[in-house]
Formats: sequence, C-alpha cells, structure tokens
Amino acid sequence: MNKGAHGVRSGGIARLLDRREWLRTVAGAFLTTAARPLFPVPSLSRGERGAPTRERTRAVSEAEALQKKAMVVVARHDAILEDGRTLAGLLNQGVMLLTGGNEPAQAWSSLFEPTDVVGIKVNCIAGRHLSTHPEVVAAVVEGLKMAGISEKRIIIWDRLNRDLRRGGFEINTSGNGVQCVGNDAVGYDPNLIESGSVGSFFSNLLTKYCTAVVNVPVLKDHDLAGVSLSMKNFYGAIHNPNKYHDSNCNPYVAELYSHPLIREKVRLTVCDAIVGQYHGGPSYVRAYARRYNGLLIATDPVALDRVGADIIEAMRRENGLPSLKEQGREPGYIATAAAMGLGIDAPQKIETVPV
Amino acid sequence: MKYGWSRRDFLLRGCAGVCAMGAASSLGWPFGGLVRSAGAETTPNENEAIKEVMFYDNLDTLRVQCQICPKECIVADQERGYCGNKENRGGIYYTLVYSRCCAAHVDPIEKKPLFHYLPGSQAFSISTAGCNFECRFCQNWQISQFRPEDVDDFTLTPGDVANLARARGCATVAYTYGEPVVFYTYMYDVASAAREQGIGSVMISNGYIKEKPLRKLCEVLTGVKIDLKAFTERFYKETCSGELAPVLDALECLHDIGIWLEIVVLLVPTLNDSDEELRTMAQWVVDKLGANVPMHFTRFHPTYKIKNLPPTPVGTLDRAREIALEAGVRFAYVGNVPGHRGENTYCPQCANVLIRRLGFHVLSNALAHTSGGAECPNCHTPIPGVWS
Repeated sequence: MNKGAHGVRSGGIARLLDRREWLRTVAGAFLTTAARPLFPVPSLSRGERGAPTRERTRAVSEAEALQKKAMVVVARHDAILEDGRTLAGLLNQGVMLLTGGNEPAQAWSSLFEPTDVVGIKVNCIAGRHLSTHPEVVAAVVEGLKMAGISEKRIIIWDRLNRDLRRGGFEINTSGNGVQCVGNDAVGYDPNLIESGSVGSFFSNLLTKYCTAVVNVPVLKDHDLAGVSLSMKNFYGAIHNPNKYHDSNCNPYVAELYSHPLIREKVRLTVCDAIVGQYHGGPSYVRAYARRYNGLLIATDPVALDRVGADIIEAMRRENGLPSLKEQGREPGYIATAAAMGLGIDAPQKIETVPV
Repeated sequence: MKYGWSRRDFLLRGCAGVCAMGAASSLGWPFGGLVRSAGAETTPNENEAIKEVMFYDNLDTLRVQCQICPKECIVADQERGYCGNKENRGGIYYTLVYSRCCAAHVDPIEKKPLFHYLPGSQAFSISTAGCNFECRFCQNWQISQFRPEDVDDFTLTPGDVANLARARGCATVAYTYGEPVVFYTYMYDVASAAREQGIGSVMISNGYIKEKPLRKLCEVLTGVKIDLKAFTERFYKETCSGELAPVLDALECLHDIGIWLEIVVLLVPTLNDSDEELRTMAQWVVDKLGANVPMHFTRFHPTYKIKNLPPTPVGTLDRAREIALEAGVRFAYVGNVPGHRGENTYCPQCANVLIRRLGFHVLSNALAHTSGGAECPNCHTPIPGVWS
C-alpha cells in the first residue's frame, strides 16, 4: 500500500485557509520580504519551501551578537506550577527582558506576528513526570495570543501522539483551538535534507506548516549526549534520531540545529525547568529528579544549553555524583554549536538574569 | 489490518514496505491531507508487535546493552538503539517489530542472490523496518532507515509465515530487503516454525552480528548471503556507518559452522572498486573461507544519499569478476546486469555452462545430481551448493 510520497497537495495551504486569512498570510509574507533586505541565509532546496521566516528574531540575535553577549533569563518561584498567574508572569517577564519590551503584548509581538503558524515543540518522551508541563505550554499559548496569533495557528507537537498523550496533552487536529499532533500522524517531508553529517527527513510540521517555533524542552541529563536541552529537542523533528547518538551525539546535535528549518524558525526557547533531573536521563528516574521550579528563557539556544548544563552539573555536585565529563559524557555538542556560530557558550559572555 | 487490506490483498499487490510520508484523510486546517484518519493510532498494537529481545544485558539506572550486533548499543529507559526498532521499557529491551512485516513477497531465490541454493525455487521473502547500518546507497532505505511507526506494516506471526510459504510452494523463507539482524528475535522464531514444516531459511544480511547470536541463529537457518560492502574500514565507517572487522569475524564464523554461504559485493564507482582492494578481498575470501564460496559483484545505481555517482560500469564488474577468478574464487558472478554471461554458473574445471540464467530466471540447469550433491555432467567435478 502506497501512502504517497508527497503528503501535501499543491496549493494546500491556500485551500485550507479561508480567503481572508490567506490574503493576510500572503500579504504579510510579501511585506516582510519587501520592507527590508533579506538576511543572507543559505538557499533552501526543494522540499524546504515551508513558509517564509521572519527577520525580527534574527534582529534580536544580531543585537546580541554585536554586543557579543547572550542573555538567559532564569525565572524561578516556589509556586510556579501551583499558580498559573505566577508562571505566566515569570514567562512574560522573561520575554520582556529578552526583547526589551515594556509590556508583555509588545514583547511577544516583537517576536511573532499574527500571520505566523507557530509550532510549540515539547519533549514528552519521559512521560508525565519529566515532560514539558501543559501549564508551561498554556502560558506560551497565552503569550502567542497576545501577539495576535489565533489558537488554531498554534500547534503543539512532538514525535509521537503516544508521547504527547503521556505528557498530558490531548491530540487535536480538528482545526478548532490549539492543535496538537505527533510526527507519526503528520508524517515526514519526502525530500531528504542534509545538514553536515546529518541526513534526514524532517517533520512536515517544520517543512510545510510552521513559520515559527517556540522550543519548550525540559531540564534533564542524557546518558549519551550529556544533557538533553534545547538543541537536542529537535531530534524529535527528524525520522532517524537513533542514527545520531554516536560520539555523545556530537556534532550531530549542532549540525541538525544549524539547518535553517530549525535555526531560523526557532524564535524563542523556554526550557521547562520546573523539574530538573541530573542523572539517569533521558527517562524519568525519581531518585534523581528535583523540583527546580524554574524556566530558562532565551533566544540563544547555545547559551541556554550552557546554562542548563551548568545547573545539572551543580545538582550532580550537590548530590555527590561525578561530573558529566568524568562520566565520559560531557556535552561537547554545545561547544561545537558555538563554533558553528549558532550561539554563545562562553560563560563570561552569557548574562544570566534572575527573575 | 490497516486501511482495510487483507493479508492476501497486500501480498497479491506485491507491495513493498513504504514510508509514512503522508496520509489520506482530510480533517481541515491546518493539516489537510496529512493526518491519518481519526482514531488510527500509528504506534503498533503492542501486544502483537513487542517481544523481549533474545540477547541483551541489564545495566544500572534501568539501562540495557544490546548484544545482538557489535554496536552493543547502551540504551536508556524509553530510548531506542541505533537500529530504531528496539526499545528499552523499564529495563526490559523489546523488539517492536515482532510479527510486524513491512514487506512480503514471493521471489525467485536467485534474486537474493543465491545461485547455488535450490536454483529455480521460490523464496517467501519478508522484512521489518530498521537497520544497524546506514548505507548511503541503500536500495531499501524506505524501510531500513525508518522506525516501525513510520512504515506501513501488517501482522504475520511466525506460524503465518511458515503456512504462507508452504501454501505458495516456497521451499525457503528469506529474511531480506532490510537487515534481518535487527529483527533477530522474529527471524529466529519464523525460521523455527518454517523448519517444522520442512521449509528452509536463508538470511540476507550485512553480516554485522555477534558470534553468540549468529551461532544460535544458524541452528535454524539453511543458508546465508552476506553483503560484503568493501574491504576497508574507511568505507564501512564513512559510507555505511559500520565496521569491517566484525563482518569478517562473522564470515569466518559462518565458515566454521559450515552453513552454505554466498557473498555479494556492490561496487560503487570510485569508492570500493579499486583493483587492489578487490584483489585483497578475493584473496582473503579464498584463504579464510575457501575457493568454493561464490562471490557476486553487483551493479550500483544512484539512490538515497548517493545520487552524484553513475551506475557501476559493466566493465568494472567484469574486471572484479576476473580478479576474483584469478585469486582462485571458483564461482564469481556479475549481478544487476540481466543477460550478462557472468550470471551463468560454469564448471570451474572445464568451463561447461551448468546453469544458464537471465536476470533472476533460470533458463536451463544441466547439473547432474549425485548422492553427494551435484556435479558437472561433462567432467564430473563436484559443484558445491544446496541442490535439494
């Protein structure tokens, strides 16, 4: 039985949206492209057509690059999970700090536009106890709505429907409300995409639907990569992640993230650090999981991963465990990513801002 | 059965495993035709498809270490090994593809290719998703390089396979297309069920398997064909994400076991086709495995991640065959070139044409059968193989 190598009919997006929304989408893309010079990015090959990317997040990262510093907001509160307003408040404060916005709507609007289709990439492989909290995602959704994005243009996604359900999310592909779906239901783009030594088929969500992504990983160690944070979360976007675990997942994590479909679409990373696990990951091991009650918020994924890795190392020290390096699983991919220009990993160049 | 197909329909259509690149149902914005029908859970019926792996060790913090192939993947809880079709669940390592076929065909045995094994007979050929290599020129990447949940499949229990093979008049079950080492547990049980019905089993493999499971498996197999990708570690590493040395160990183990063995070498222009490498390879085969092991030199065609190289020139295949014959290999063949004289079996003594072939079809078979096997009818030279 042939499922068909080409999942999207031509003009599919146009046919699915009503006329008014389609016109807004096209007009928005045209204005974005025409109003300012194109950033010199590598040309996208066939199959990577997807939707147009935005300039403003790059402007933020460019500013950081010019200052040669990266900001990672570390927002913590004991009642972060128990009080939705607290969580939302911490998130919004973090986004305002990152963007320089004076109030939440302005801050979110500087990162996203109403015409965006935003994928929220969660991490649910470890089940309910060590997965992206639905409460965190709900706060992200509210932020996106402040930027004028309608719920149906927001897609919560991960590798499998099964994992999403286990993480406490409800699958929704009805077209009403916030959508939620796994790659196994949406499928992979039939065009092979190569990025360094990584050669994979990417989720259709990245190649065909999402114009932007909010990356919402969790804070945990990984038995091979050292840590599983923002960049490694995109192993859930390709069909063959199991092929890229040699050599502590290095350089594969960085090479994968460097592809424009990921690098240019991720506008914001919110690491769900409400629970942090410092050993035994990537699955949940109760004995090594602690409430950290935090969110790590950044636009620089390398800086975020560096800060997250340092937090995990601190937890390990506090609990008498050897360092990741001593265990032979230092997260070398972070330095590789920095060397590739994906962000900043030098501690003296990372501004950690507590909230 | 997914999508309303019966097992018979699937087989009759001769449909190979395909990847789940898209789906058929329409559910509106934003997914249109991409999302599978509502209610169709794409992850497997776990009761059918999972079974504990036969060879693995338990480590700390619920980790396991697979012991089937030399990668010896250390797999954390909820993670999978390199092959993608085994998963650690709470410290128990499961295969996710037990009875979960993504391809099933009735093929001529010559297609495997096995030329000295029941010529002209049919092989009931099956595969699951997954592989422990990633050959950049893989012809079956749509099933080998995908996880089970991303490939269309159907249930065939070991008993089903044996019964279908018998019903279709197949003398053999072939574990092929993808990499059977990664569906070891299933393959072993199918081979056992087939043997009970007097049906043989042949493994078509990259040979990347550890000795203990290999010896165990050979208790229920009747033939093996190994793809010897090249004779350099560099090619194995850079082009296949594998290793040569363990494959050579497996070949020597097969020789020691005494099971019928044939070798295929797919020649990729400029990458593994030098005279020196071929000479070294052929000499090793003769020295370590014996001159009676047939070698097939087959033609590469651009596919998967190698599309910038041309198909193997026929002259290269001719040269490889000549090099093998000069090294002492008694039976050297050319594959994927229908009509080539190198498809025929010749008596190594008098050059008499013993079996004439066109592609996968036997046109004539002049072998003389004896109580000990078969021989050339002209000079009575014994011809090694599995002839009955």
